[in-house]
Amino acid sequence: MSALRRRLVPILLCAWLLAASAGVWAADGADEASQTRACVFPAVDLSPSGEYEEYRHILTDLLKTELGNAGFLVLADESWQPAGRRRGFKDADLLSGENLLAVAEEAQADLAVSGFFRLESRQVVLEIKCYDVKARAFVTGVLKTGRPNLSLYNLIDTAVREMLPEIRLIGKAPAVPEPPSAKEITLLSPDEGMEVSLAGAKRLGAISEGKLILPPIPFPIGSRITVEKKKEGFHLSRESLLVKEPVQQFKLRPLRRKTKTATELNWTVGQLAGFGLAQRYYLNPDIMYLAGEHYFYLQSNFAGDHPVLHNDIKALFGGYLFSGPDSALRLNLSTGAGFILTYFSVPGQGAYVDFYLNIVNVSFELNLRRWALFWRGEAKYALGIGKSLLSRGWLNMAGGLPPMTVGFMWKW
Amino acid sequence: MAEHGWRASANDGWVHVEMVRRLFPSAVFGAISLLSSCGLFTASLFPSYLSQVEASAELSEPIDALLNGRTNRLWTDLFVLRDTAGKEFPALLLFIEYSPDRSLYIMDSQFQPKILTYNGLDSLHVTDASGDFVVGQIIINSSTLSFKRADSNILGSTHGFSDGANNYLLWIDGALPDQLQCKVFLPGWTTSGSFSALWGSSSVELKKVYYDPARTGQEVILVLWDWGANQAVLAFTPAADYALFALPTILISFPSVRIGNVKPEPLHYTRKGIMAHDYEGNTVLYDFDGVTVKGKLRSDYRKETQEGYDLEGDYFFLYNVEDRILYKGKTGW
Repeated sequence: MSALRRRLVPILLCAWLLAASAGVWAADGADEASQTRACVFPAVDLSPSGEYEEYRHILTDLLKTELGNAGFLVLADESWQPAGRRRGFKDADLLSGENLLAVAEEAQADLAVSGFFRLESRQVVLEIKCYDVKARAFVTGVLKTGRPNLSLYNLIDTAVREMLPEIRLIGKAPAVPEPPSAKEITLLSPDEGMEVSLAGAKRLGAISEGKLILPPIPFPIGSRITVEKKKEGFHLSRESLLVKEPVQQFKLRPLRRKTKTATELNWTVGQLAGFGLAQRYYLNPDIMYLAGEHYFYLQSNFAGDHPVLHNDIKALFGGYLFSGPDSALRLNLSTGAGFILTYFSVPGQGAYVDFYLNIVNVSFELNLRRWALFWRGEAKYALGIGKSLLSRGWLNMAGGLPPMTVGFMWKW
Repeated sequence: MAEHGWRASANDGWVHVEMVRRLFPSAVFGAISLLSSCGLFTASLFPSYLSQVEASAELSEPIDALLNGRTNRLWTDLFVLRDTAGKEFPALLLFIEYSPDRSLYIMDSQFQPKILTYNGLDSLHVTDASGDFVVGQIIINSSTLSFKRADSNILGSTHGFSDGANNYLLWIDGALPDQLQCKVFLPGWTTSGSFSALWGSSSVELKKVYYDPARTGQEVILVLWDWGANQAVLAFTPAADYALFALPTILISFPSVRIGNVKPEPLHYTRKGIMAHDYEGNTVLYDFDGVTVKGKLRSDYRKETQEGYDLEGDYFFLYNVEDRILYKGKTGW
């Protein structure tokens, strides 16, 4: 009688505990498809006497309950038992990781759990091991001791809690925090009708009424996006935008109009009693051009003398190097030829013509949107042919300096 | 120049009218000329004298005729002849290397050349006591600019002057020490006498001789180059001493002016000052203290040129050797 009482109490207690757990081995409301499938093999009694069979079921069921409460989908025994029987495995064989993984794999489980207990001298020693079935690897395990009474529940609860952080990762990729991304990006531009695309590939839209709200592309905050801006009659332009906030506006740089022609007004040092007018025609807008120039100036030494009139007429071919139409400073080289027609204000002196080669002009330009300021050094070589005033050789001003010209240019 | 005024209008009453006349171009030129006094405006590619030119003469044709196809080098010498009335005539002497052929172009009042071609032409150029021009051994009528006669008595390669009474030819004898030799001639170029004078320096070279009757007591200006001191020297000597056939040591006895930092050629005396070329490419007008600069013009012409000046210093004459053009212009000084 006393032996029956000894065994009955824990049985009744565990039954009560099981009832309290409502036998739910899966988390309420959980989606089975997203749950980790757990295969819980029966706890094996390794006690010397083998008389605590009922603890085997108690412990196994407690383990299933705790795993179910933790969100795992505990597979029914029928899902793996056929595989074990086919292999001829007994419960104790399933303590082996290799055997356990073979059966759990066939049952399509993600997690395999096995354990054993040993009751001896009123002490329970409990070991539980967990395996990642797909990785075929041992993940974690616990070894607990306790009393064979109601504290068994706490023991199992504690053991599962200790294992949860690792076994919860089984079957799922580690959770990566989602970076914040842009919600709404607006581009502002004065270039009405300008087409905007993303790095030349994906068209984002066109500027309308001064703005374009981009499609909802989740650009990460902190990333740079490159937009390509295009409009007929303007140079293609790219601009890099730094996304700093979820809702952000960008004022785009205005496009540069393609220059087809330009007009220069210039002055040459030593010839400042006059001015030059030049007209450019661009073969390639803002890159390569042909130009014609007429510089008219008076030469006079003192009040009361008879100014001499010079007309410097030349044709040039030129282009820009190392800098695009957007650059603020540009280097321009040109070459050509011309002649200087000279006549006196005193009658009866005739006219003279000095032909020259304009070997190279080097010009530095401050390139603004519609106009440019420039400084130009000129290397001219007089041919000294015909009725001329200058002998053959380089044309230099007093002091040996080459001619230097400053001016500004209006772009059409 | 613009003229402002009120004019009565038949329909609108009094109307302010601004009348701009043909003087506008001159006004523009005047304004620009004023601005042009700034160096930035005048540092031109072209010779600076161009705007001062008042007349020019192209001499290619007569020169080609003189050369007659020969490629011998042509030497030229530009000087100014002044008659007794003070009228001045620029003259260009041409002689062909390795040839006795010589030609003289005397520019008349229309700046057209009167051409004389005689073998006796040489570097000497004076107005003699008879009022004729003498160039080398050739005597030229100063009124008609025509050949009068040749006189072999004249030392054609010397320097000279006339005080109106006699003719004096001057040269350095090359002895040690150098002395100024002077041969005196009567009008008509018969020999009257000769004398010599010491310089007072051992390294001077006689470059030119000028006679300026306006410098009373200093009429004969000797333009020298002192090779030892590397300086130009102008010595002002009295014509009366030459008539006495005696000159004391020149650089000690008479006032002189020294100018440094100028080239040995060219050097010219004018009544405004002394014209010389500095080493910075300028023609400089020095005052008679030899230091004060009264004016400056660019003279680093790309083409070879020769220059001369009238006695007053109002006009320059410039011969462009390469283009064979002779210019007359105002110095502006």
